[in-house]
Amino acid sequence: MNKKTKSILLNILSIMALYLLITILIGTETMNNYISNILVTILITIIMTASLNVTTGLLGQLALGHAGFMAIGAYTSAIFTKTVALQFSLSLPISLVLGGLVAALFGMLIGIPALRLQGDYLAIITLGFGEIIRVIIENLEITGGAAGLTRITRMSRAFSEDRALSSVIQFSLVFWITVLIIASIFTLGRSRHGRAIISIRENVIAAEATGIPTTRYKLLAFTIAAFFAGIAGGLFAHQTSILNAKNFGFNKSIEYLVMVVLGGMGSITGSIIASIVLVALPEMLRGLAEYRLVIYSLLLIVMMLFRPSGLLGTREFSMLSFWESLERLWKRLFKRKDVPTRMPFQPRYDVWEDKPVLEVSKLGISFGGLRAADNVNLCLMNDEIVGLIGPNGAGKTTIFNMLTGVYVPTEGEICLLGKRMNGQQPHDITRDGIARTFQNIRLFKSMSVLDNIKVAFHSRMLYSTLSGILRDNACLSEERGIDIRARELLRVFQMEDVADVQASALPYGQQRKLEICRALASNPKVLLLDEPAAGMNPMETSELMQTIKTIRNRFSVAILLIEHDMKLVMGICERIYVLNYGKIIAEGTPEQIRNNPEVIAAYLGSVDAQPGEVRGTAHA
Amino acid sequence: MTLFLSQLINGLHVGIIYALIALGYTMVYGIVKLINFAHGDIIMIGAYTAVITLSTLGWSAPVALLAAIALCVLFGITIERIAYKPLRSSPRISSLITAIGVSMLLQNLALLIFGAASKPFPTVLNVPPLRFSGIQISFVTVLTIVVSVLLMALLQGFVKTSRAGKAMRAASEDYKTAQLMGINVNTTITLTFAIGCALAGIGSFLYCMAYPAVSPTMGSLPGLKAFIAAVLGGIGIIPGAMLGGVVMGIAESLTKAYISTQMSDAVVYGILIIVLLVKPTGLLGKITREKV
Amino acid sequence: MKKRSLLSLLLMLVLVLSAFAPAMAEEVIKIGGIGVLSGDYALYGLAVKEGVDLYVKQANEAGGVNGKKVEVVWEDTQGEAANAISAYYKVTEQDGVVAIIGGVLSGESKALAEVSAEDGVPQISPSATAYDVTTGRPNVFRTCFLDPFQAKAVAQFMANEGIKKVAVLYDNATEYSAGLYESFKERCAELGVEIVAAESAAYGDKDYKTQLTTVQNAAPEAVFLPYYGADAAMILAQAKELGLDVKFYGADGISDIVDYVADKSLLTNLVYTDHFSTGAQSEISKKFVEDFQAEYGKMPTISFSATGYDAAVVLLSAIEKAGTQKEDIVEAIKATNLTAVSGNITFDDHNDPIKSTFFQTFDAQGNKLFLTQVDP
Repeated sequence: MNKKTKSILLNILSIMALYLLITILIGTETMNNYISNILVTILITIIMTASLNVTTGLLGQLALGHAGFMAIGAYTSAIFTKTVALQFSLSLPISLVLGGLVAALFGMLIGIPALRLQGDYLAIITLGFGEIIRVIIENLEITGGAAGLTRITRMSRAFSEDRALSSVIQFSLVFWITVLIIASIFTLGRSRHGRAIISIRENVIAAEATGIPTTRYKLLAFTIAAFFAGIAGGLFAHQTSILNAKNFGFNKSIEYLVMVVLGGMGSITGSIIASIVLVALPEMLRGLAEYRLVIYSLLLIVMMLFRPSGLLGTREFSMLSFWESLERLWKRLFKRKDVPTRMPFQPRYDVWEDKPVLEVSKLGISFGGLRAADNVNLCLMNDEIVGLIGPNGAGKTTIFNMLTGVYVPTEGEICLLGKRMNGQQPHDITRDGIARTFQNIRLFKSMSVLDNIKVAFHSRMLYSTLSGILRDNACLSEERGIDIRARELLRVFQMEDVADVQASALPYGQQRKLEICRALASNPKVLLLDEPAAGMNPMETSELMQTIKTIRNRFSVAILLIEHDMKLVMGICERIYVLNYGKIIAEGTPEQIRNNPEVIAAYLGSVDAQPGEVRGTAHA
Repeated sequence: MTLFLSQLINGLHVGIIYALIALGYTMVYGIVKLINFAHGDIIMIGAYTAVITLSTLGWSAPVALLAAIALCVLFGITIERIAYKPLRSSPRISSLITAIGVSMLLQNLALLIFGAASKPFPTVLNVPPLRFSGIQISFVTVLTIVVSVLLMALLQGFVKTSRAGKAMRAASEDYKTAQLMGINVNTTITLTFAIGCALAGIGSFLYCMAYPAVSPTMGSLPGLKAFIAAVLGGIGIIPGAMLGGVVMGIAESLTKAYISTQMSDAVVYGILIIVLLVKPTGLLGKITREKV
Repeated sequence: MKKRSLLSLLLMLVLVLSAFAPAMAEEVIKIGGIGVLSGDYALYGLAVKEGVDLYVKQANEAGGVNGKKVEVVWEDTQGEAANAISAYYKVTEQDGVVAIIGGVLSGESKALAEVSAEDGVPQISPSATAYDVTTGRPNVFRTCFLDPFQAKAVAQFMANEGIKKVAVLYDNATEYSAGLYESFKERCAELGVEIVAAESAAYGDKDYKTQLTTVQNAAPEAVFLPYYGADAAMILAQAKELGLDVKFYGADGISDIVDYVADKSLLTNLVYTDHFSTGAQSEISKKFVEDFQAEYGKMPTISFSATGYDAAVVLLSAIEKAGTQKEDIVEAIKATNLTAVSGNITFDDHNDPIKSTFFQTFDAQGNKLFLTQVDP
């Protein structure tokens, strides 16, 4: 037995031992109802904070109405067990799932309109919805109105005549539900869907441009969080026997938020630890109840001032590797065949030797009265490197934004491989084969270099959210495939050795390179580079020229690049378009452009300038 | 008709107080892009100051008002210096959470010091309600509306014409650039907090005259509503806060009078949600795009 | 590394659990006191606590119960049902109490009753006035009258005063207020008193002018306010501001209004029902008022001090008769027939006391004035 297997076994044994220890203590009534009741409260709180962490930590959106979803789950579940004449041990699990589903439904309903907004506004909307839920529950007949719901069957007694046995069953049920939920949040976080959610937190615009349907994933995160909160609500209802909408107000939501923040936004184990401490501590210090909230609020402020990332930051407390070991053990135990490796789905682009890959005709856009682009015609052939130059404010980036769907053009047409692209969402355009980089680098900063690349494979992968949570073969084989592909890609750019480094820790030149690498990962047919050499020193620039040549040699892709560095543009572009005041004023080979009097006038503001003067960096 | 008018005036009364408080939210948000959750609790501080100076110390109303304003300003500036300033360059979510923390702290400290039970606010003005052709309007309502409108006009004039006001506007456009232009952003932010809190101080006095009870949590509800008013009108925009406040107050009052009392909060939040969805920057807000 | 972290987590848990180790049994009788002692409704809980503590102190000074000292273990619920359950388990399983006095609010009392009924632990609430707290729970009692009873008494009182048109301002999102309104409405219909306006306004709303304007428009002769004191104080002040000058009626929750009103003369317009009056004439009541004043240096103006005192009287006398077995205590409580501070106490089939109501009003200085006593 090697060292690894030993440590795996030890880990599993610890969780089992913890469970067995507690069940034995409860079963023999060594641990009385007071403590087992507190343990159940802790577990329910863990579900609440971990699920809130999905929206607040992983997705990065502040949600102030999480208790509202708990309320929906609690009421749904309680009404179900009260009205449906089934044996409790049967009706409870059904009611829990039902409560979760109804909460998820509300999460989705609320999410659809609310997620068009971001940041502070979204926070306020979630607060508003939370309060509306409370008011509605208070005014409905079925929810018991003002008096609330009472006489809900309590888990700690209902399972069995024997009190100790019933308590044991209650604890087991809640314990394993919690373990299950935590495990699925973990596995979700490690799947392509989890990466998609985290990439939204890191940089929503880049995520969209990398092929992530951001709205859908925001919605997914909200729905999942609401689902779990609903289940927690159902458990709470059958723990306390009495529900009152007032207990699920803003303050409750804030209490859970405090725990998430203290544990570390993005760290599920942090949430678990914070839940244990913040539930157990006030119980032990009952006499200090008055000071509880003062201490909470001080903790919150001090934490934000001195350790804004919380107790654990986004790190996990050894659980991640624990989970991996668990998987390995599973495979070992059941002698499953090694999952096949499945390479990411590669879109098949037809060979377009003689027709342009990208054809833009009569493209135009107005902002208010301003014509930012007017009658722009562009075309890119296969494997071509084309430059787009022009003075500052000429509208170059605006054209990129229209090509990638960030702006919707007011007129004109964009055709990629003969298919009209106007009006499509950025992530769809990325999927169809246009990828880009940004003027100001937009990386997923706190993710690793490798994960940055993996996010870009998203649109080329197939496995479902459920597969991701279950980590079944579909998920594992695809994950293995993209791991190989991502490393291959990094090797091409000599970045393999930094694969596990956090993106923000890379030097500037490498960050640029990573962004290009990420764009390539989505396997585009057209690559748009927005000032790739901006801010680079001459050495980095010449390295970049090498990189771009490498891309052309190794990938079948047409490149359109915006650049002010004339040495770079003239050095690698086969054709150049010159843009001024939103219009193409010239087109041709570097030689033709260099000698075009109109171009010289645009750059230097004078027709008298001598040909051949446009050299070096044009914008001083 | 007279009933409708009376309800309209009731709504105007509440709304104008929301507007007064909303100004503090909006001005601060305009510059530091922070939802100062603790702003509502500044009202509570003003109210406790007023009630203690009036009832316990027996000071006269104008002196008590000045004391309330002074303490509000003092708290506002201190909170900004200690809790918000160090976080100016951190992610927005951090400063938002800090603001929630400060709000909780103020409330719970007050709870420890003064207890949960509310204290009565003494009657400052004993003037019978005014009558206008069948409509009764309480004197406090008239006073509140007059004072508030006057203050808002003053504020608007200050921001539009004075040097410091111009600095505030410049800082709210882009405080980093304003700094490069030689504007002392720290002073400007302090001034913004001070003005916002002074208005909250006056607001707290007017609020207590209308609703004569002072308790630790008294600030959270009007604070929240005022904040919603600020968002509704377009956060960061001074006339927006006034419009938002009045719209909210009237919507609330009319819902209570003609639809359902319990639903008035739901209706208010509903209006907010609809406005934000149709016009995400609020009624008077300008659309800004993130540069890509 | 992993090993150590998980093990240390385990160790932490064991440490946490060991902190909860049960206390050693002693030669005292422990009873649990559970109720809201902090937060918005702390006033009621603290009043109950003062009453209970006073009687327990007196009983201990008189030699205890069956020769044993009595000790009350108080736990705060902060008004939340979940906390009430946790507190219940703490006092019964950790501290080993034989019976419970509490809860104070109806909501927490129901949660308590739910768990105490499972174990059959005797529970007496001094102040839960909602009807179904005791329904189907033979071990749960109370020493206060019920909402339907007092609401009907108010309606009757109004009718006796010759009032024909009445308006109601209530909070339909709160069980107490909504429940009182329902019973009041029922009795008014029987008595032929017309309800010309029934407006709902939430607790803590502060702005009641809209509703008051509607009420004013309906021109009632009196207004029924089933609120707690803090809200009622706000309503009275705003009614005055609007010039609505009628008689106001309230129920027991309003009894703490005095401290919330700056202008005490507003209170002369208010009549309400109470569980106890410091102006009550019986010997035992007078003695209670004296003892209370001696102990706490103030009058027992919140009547839950009296019902709390009575709850302790009922419980300790039952323990004296029956010992400390829970079934025996329950039986003994059920058989209670004694004259307590807030009147005679016997329990009906629903475990509710059959008791009197005291109508009170105020003078211009905010002192409570005893009007009349209505018997069931």
